[in-house]
Amino acid sequence: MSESILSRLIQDASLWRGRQWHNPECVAIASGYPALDSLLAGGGWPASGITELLCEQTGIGELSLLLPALGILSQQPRWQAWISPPCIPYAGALKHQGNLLARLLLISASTHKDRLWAAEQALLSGACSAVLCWPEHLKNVEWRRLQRAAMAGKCCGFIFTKPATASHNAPVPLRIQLKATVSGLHLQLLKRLGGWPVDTLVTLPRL
Amino acid sequence: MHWLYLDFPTLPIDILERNTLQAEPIAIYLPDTERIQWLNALAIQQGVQAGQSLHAANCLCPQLRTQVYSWQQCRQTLHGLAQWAESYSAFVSLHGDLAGSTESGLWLEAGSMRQLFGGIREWYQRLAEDLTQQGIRFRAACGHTPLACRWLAMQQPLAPSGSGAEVISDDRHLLQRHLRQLAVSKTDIAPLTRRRLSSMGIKTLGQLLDLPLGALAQRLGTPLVQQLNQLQGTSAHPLKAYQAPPYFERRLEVIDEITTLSHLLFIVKRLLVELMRWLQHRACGTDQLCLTLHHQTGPSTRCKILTAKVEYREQEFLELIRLQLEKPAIQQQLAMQPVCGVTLSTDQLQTRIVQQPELFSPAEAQHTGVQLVARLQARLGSQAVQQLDNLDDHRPEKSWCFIPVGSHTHSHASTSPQPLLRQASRPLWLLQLPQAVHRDQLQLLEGPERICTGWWDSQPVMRDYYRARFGSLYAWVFRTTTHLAGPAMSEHDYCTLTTGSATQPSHWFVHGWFA
Repeated sequence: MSESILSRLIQDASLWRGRQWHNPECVAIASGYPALDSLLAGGGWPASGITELLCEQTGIGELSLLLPALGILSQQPRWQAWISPPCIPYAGALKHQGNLLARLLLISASTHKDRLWAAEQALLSGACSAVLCWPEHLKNVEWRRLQRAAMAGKCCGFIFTKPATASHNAPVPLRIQLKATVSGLHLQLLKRLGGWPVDTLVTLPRL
Repeated sequence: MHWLYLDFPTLPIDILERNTLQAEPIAIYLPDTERIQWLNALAIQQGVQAGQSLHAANCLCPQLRTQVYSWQQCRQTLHGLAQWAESYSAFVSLHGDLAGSTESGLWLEAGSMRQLFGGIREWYQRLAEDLTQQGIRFRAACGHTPLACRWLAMQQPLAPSGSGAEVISDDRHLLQRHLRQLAVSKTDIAPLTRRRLSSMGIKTLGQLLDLPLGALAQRLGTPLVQQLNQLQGTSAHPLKAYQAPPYFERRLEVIDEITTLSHLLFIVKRLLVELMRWLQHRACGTDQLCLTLHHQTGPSTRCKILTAKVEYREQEFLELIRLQLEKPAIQQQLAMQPVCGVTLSTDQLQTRIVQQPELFSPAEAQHTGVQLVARLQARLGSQAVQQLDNLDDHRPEKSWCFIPVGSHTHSHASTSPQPLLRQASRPLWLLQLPQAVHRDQLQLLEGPERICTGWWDSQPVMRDYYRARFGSLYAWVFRTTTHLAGPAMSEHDYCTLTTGSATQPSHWFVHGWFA
């Protein structure tokens, strides 16, 4: 009896099943990696929202991951703010990425507070298509503020954190852990919109 | 010619009163006599009177704030008012510009403005409203000679409380009637002459004007006759036209010290409004302001406000100034050393560029982009927000540079020919200083690519670059080949530069990460 009700409900499609991919309506920027896009809501990075990227080290391939999307975004006449990057973005390598070099705004802020302030201003202004920020540990309140700012400014925010200091569940729509391996960059989707975390690793080829 | 004279009898007190947040009795005394000369309504309520000695006034009203008269400050305000008046008249002249003067007033040529403003009363109405908004009390009168309108104005009640509107007119006969009724005792005529006239029974100007001038000159001297001639317009009364300096500088003094940010911003805003009017009048803008905070003791604090584009609106400036003043260092200084005066100045005038907004283009985004940069630079410093550009040099450390925001020439990508080097052979992260590593840590993948020379700026390099694995990372490493490089920069120097110790010379350096 109970089984028949259940099967009828499923057949009617009036019941949403957790395992099912629920694709919410959201604007996304294609990441340039089809394997990754198929796992992300809307088929790419959230166009207005924060993405947390957990990297244990600088230089494991985090920029190559973002570069195709940043190249697409550089067609918009808006800035791309890089707030206190750990190294200098090499102009020689960026000049082939569309308009990226002309859009790139390099902001150096010495204190954590200033970095967050700059990130919020840039996200909120609506004058930036992407904001990349390398802060120290962020509190939940700060995450929320950045997320709200990104939504208001229709901006793609990428926040780089260290897995060791990262909070367990930052209130942002997308969290991805990056790991470098011999075969390439491994992505673990810790949290995503409209779907369960992906435990299996997605490997992206090296550029 | 038709003239309007604006007299500011309470200017010293108005300057102080408009800058204080709460009302309190204020009196200003002259430095040489130490007698009260100006006082506000609250002080009058307490029984203080003009002409009292400082001591007596303090006894009558213990909470009375007294301040010495500052001619400098009055003069500066008068100059500010003259610059303001330039938007109402083509000819403005100052009265009381001489050192130590306690009087201040402005002559405005009124006749030529009649048509533009639709009548002399309408013109005056707008002018008076504007002046009242600035917190300045005044009395005004029209006249066909400068002296006539000055004497008339001096006997009018103070505006805005009083109404002196009947002498704002271009009716010559009406004004002449008013002039004839003026009391001789309240005019500019020398005190000794006034006393003699009064003993002769001459009370009003009308009686005086009826007397034959020749006889008057004989009995009371030529200065009086000269004055009467100027009054009637039969002899010239030359006025010096006011010429505004080509820069803006205003200083505001406050009677109680500023310790809070909100009070400081209140003062700054007043200055900014004046700046905006000034810029509006000249149809120009500025991208650089200098704000100086004066302290009772110690050196003054200077802040430079730079905007990303030529700006003239007070709101934009106020936002940037707020960001500067919110800095902890300034906040601390404000608490330690209260501010007693604020100066705002600029001499970087630029023509205002009116951007034609395109109908369906992202002009809005561009505009906020400029604002964003201005805001970031205001708080973090102008050096903290920059852009990157390529340089034509093959040495990696010299192939890029920081450039000021907005100076980027448009996209290289579309115009430059296909690069010879494969894109992937250049790393995305470049280290500011190469990091020394051991050969054992590296697993070479690609290379070598030789980058050498640089003899033209005597910083030659001779390096072989490789793409290598460094743990799980991909690194851009190089080996210095000193035996070829010559004596200019030895490997030894390089090690000292990068590792800080010359004990363990290393041949291999990481210069970037393929991130």
